[in-house]
Amino acid sequence: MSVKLKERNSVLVLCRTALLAAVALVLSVFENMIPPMPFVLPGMKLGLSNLAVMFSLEVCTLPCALGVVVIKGLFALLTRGVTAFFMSTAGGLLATLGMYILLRQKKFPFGCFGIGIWGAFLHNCGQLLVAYALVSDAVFVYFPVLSLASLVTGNLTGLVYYIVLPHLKKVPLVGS
Amino acid sequence: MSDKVLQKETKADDKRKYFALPDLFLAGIVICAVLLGIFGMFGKSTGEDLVAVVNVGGKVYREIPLTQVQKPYTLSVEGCESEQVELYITSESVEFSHSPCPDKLCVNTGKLTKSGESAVCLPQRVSVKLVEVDGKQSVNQPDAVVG
Repeated sequence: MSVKLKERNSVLVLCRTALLAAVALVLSVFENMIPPMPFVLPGMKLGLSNLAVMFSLEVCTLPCALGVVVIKGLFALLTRGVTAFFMSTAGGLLATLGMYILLRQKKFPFGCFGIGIWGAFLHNCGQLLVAYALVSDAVFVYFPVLSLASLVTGNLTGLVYYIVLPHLKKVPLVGS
Repeated sequence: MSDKVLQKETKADDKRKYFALPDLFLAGIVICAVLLGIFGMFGKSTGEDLVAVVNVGGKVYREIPLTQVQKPYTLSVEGCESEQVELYITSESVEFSHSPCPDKLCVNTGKLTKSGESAVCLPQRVSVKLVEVDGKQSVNQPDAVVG
């Protein structure tokens, strides 16, 4: 690969990271605008910004997805404080690595459903571990509830991802 | 934009299904985790001798035996972001009555009455946990470790 090509490649990755991070931020802002529903416990989130991470894993590289996660975490740091930063980043990193492993191996082709719930579940696990480190073991009471919720929310994000992916791939620059 | 490397990466997953058989395996893991968590909490009785353990920033701040509470009162706890969190303590229950955080997760948890129940305010890093004591068992010991 020539130097020029390599350079252009890295610029492309940088652009995609920035674009997808922006998408993730907008999605998380949009998510906060959804009014709380009666049967949903406080603290449960749809995890729409996970869509951006999933997409960046699919069309871009792992560093790109990690970049999206870190930028999202920094946004949380600015708007909601240090605790939110650690929670967001830890959950995001764990989910990203987990989904990356699933997407990379070709032997068993996982569907969007599986990747969605896996991402949501790992995100919750990462957050709980940070909460445990920051507060106390009292946080593990939320574990079953959050896991159950990740089945539902992961399913929803997986479904949205499945519907949106073919269209996004047609967008020039972003979807190759 | 027809770089060979990037094209290769994007082309590989062109037709990802919504549901594939290996997904069941992942769903199974999550369901197992749920069941494990539920069984971990199972078998907690409503003990008579409850102690409310208040944690701030990972350290035990105060332990309050609920039986010794004569009159309901409000306990002000300074959280890690130097803001006040208020706990309402009666002889039977503990609850967060006020918190400065925006999502009010701890306040919405409501009253804690059984041992093993807990409420957490993450932004202030304050948590309350009800623990049963029966002489031998130390208050600080976790009565169940889940996950």
